[in-house]
Amino acid sequence: MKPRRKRVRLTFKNVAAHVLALIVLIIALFPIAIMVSTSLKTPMEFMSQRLSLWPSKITWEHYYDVIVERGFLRFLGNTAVVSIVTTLVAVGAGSMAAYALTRFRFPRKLDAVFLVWALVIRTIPPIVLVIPLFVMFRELGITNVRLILILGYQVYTLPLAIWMLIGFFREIPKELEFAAMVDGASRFRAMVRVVYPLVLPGLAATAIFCIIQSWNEFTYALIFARVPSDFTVPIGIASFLTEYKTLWGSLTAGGLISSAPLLLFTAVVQRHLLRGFGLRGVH
Amino acid sequence: MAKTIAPPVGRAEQISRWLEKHMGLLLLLPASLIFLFLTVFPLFYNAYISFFDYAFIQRLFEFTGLDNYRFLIEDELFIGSIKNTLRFLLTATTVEVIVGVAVAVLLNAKLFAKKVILPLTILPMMFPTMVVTAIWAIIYDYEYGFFSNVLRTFGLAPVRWLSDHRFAMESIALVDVWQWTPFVVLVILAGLQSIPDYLYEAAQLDGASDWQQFCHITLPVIAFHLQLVILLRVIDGFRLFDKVYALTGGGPGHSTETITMFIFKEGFRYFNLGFAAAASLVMLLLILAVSLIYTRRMWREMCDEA
Amino acid sequence: MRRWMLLWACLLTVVVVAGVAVAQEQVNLVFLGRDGTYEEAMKVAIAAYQKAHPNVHIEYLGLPWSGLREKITVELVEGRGDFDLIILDDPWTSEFLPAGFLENLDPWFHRTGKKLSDDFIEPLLALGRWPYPDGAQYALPIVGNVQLFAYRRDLFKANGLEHPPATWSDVVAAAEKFSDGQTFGVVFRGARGNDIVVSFLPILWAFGGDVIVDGRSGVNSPEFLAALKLFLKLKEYAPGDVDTYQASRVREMLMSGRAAMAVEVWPAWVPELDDPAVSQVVGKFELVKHPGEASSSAPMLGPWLLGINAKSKHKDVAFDFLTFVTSPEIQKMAAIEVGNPPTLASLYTDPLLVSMYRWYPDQLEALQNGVARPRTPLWSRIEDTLAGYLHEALVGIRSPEEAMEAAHQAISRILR
Repeated sequence: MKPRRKRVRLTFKNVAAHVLALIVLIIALFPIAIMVSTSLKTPMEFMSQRLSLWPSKITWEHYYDVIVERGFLRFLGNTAVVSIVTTLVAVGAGSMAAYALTRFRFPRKLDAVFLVWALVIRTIPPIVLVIPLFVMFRELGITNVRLILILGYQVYTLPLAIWMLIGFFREIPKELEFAAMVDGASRFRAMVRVVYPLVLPGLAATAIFCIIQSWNEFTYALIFARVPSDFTVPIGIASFLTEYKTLWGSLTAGGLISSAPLLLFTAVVQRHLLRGFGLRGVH
Repeated sequence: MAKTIAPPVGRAEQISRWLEKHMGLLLLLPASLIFLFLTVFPLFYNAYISFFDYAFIQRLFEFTGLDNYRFLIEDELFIGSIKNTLRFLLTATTVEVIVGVAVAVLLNAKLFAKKVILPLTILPMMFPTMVVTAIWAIIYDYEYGFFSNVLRTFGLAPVRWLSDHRFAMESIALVDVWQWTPFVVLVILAGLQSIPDYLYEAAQLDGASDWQQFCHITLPVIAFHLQLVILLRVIDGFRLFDKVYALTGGGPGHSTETITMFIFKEGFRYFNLGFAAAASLVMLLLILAVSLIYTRRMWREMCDEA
Repeated sequence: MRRWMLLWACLLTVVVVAGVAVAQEQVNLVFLGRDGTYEEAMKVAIAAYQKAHPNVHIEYLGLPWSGLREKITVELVEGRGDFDLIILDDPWTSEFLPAGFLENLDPWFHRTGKKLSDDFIEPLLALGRWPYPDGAQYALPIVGNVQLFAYRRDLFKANGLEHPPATWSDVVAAAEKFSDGQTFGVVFRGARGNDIVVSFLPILWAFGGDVIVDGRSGVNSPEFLAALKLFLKLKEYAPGDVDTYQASRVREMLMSGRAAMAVEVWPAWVPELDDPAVSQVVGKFELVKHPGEASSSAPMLGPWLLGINAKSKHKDVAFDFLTFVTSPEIQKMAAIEVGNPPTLASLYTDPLLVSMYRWYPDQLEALQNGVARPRTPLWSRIEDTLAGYLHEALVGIRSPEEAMEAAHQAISRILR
């Protein structure tokens, strides 16, 4: 049932509010507009120092350049592989932990310690852990860059996964498993056959958040991915900024290409995102 | 009562019973192992390295006790980096909170097409951080950037946003503000939505002005959200690295060199791993101190309210 | 039917066996190098080598400057021999050569009977030796980079100046003449980092100062202060945001005709100045050795050297390639096709090359009289530190005296 739309009266306050809202929108959106327009402008035009939002002549050369010449697809590929595997591991280990934490009692407050630690980890800046991890990986002879990143990213995605999944697992009533167990299933079976299917949407939402987080990760990738063929998307963009100062067309084209998957994911989980913030009445 | 004799239990049966009995702990094991090896152990290792002069290239590993920490305190660049980080934190967090609250209040009002406006307003938060950084690098550019073009159109001189030491850090803070104010908006908006309309209507009938309504109804309710958001932004602010690396590399001079940048250079340019480890521990202590002081206050206030 | 099948089976077997045999002979080398024009130059050499030796495949990995040193560091320290050929910027030799990461080439020359050519420009060759300058040879120079001073001959002539500036004071005087609203008298790389340091060093050396003197910081000296003050004076005639300039912006300024002089240019990027497709100043620039001041001109050497990983599994082939890439024929080819500066003296007087690059005789002189940066494993750190304080002086955060003092303190601490 659609809620009855309140009529917006034409008072000064309301008009002012709408004008302000418009200003806020413009501020939020103009950089994005600039990015889109720069990616379509000819180099001649954005070097002309003219103030123009929309390109007078649209060119697709930058998109071509970024994909064919600069190997952006390689960056996307690396990032995708690392993000997806990281997420699989984090959601896998995290869901098991979340299930355990919502279903079992633990001796000596182990669960509290675990949760608090998961929270504390998120306050640690990546650079702090990178130094010992760098030495550790060298000593252990682990040199595959993707493997290193997948392991390193666990530090930030696992706590996220655990905290999100605890919320989802809590929503599933314990009676369901007990019912299954009464019917003769083992605890483990009950978990896998009954609970997991129900929490699947939650798993999906968590997975997407983990992917978003891994996509953005910078510090570990900067230090461990040193060869251009190993670069992830953030490092690819950063190297553009520091090496090729005026290749803006390609930079913005690449930026848009790399944002597309993320924006897509975010659109999918937008409902969860806003709900997570406690906002009602949206969608 | 006679005891029934249980049938003898087979090996497989024993194992599966043991697994069931300890299922909770076993399920927690993978995550615990990951935490142990990738967070707990590295932290201790970091502390361990910090007492050594560990020069990676020369393969030197020599015990030097507290020397690294002594050098840190004497190092004006390190102290400077702490100042820079705090400067960024203060600017970014303050602006984000003030603007965020204002926008949240705005969006909470009866607006036309609210369902469209809200997702659009939080769009900046949805872009990958590096892409945001790239956009602003272009906007800030002295020769060809958007801001410079605008200024020139009005006959003014372009500003060296990222290369003037007086406000380079603030320019970087502005990028952070643009990106993360939506986050503040969302959190505060959630708090605002929990305030029922009739409170405002009653206050209005009593003759309270908008500002009074804000101070006495809105603020107390969102106080918790405010403190939460400030804590989160501050903790995030300490981690600032990618924007600085890509926009200024620590320059001009040393004016945008944050603690993270300092550690990065020491550890991965000069490969002075022991020294960098010491610096990162100091940084960790700083963050811990700030968050503890803050959370205790929040905790106490929450408990007072309850 | 059966007979045809048998025939095909035999053919297949022969092909497979032959393939295996060839594959076993196939040698795969991995070359860790730089990107950009350096990569193109090396690719020319690699293509020629692979043509002459079909069983060798050389994989080239070209990295940008920032991050290359860190990558090399990690690779060499790790010591797994993933890379056979490794490129080094000359200041890095002091870091890596003493630690035994590169293969000593002298025994290889003995073993193969090849001779180390005496056509090599000696100061460049010396940089590849440890201990510097006459120890064992660990790397050979492949890019003959040296700083040159660029100035607009036509503008100078029009103002009655027949000769290039002989001293830096002359440069300042000339810059003043040429600066009007549109053009800038001088331009340089002022960005914080390697850029500002290499722009400053030739001036410092011309004033008789140096960064390290007798193993200690030489920053706290009247020569340094004088050089720094002159450097800041140059800023007045340079574009307003010169403190963000890197090579690409300097090039742009020169090519568009908006700058009359450049404090330092590297031969690798110079050919574009005479390319009518991009340059507005074709044929108008002269490249000469740097002005002097208190002492004579002191252009900075900056060759790239190629060495063999001590842990390489194909040292013999790597050595063969090394001598190949430094041979006169290949160096000439790289110079013609890509503009790569050679490291053999005879090529700088080769008529064809001189006709293509008219500054070669000046470049040779600069190379033979060039000065190398101090040989210390701490150079990267010192350079970065010095860059920070120079930049502060350039931007006005500190006065020259304060910047000098702070730099002196910091560098002394590093050298301790």
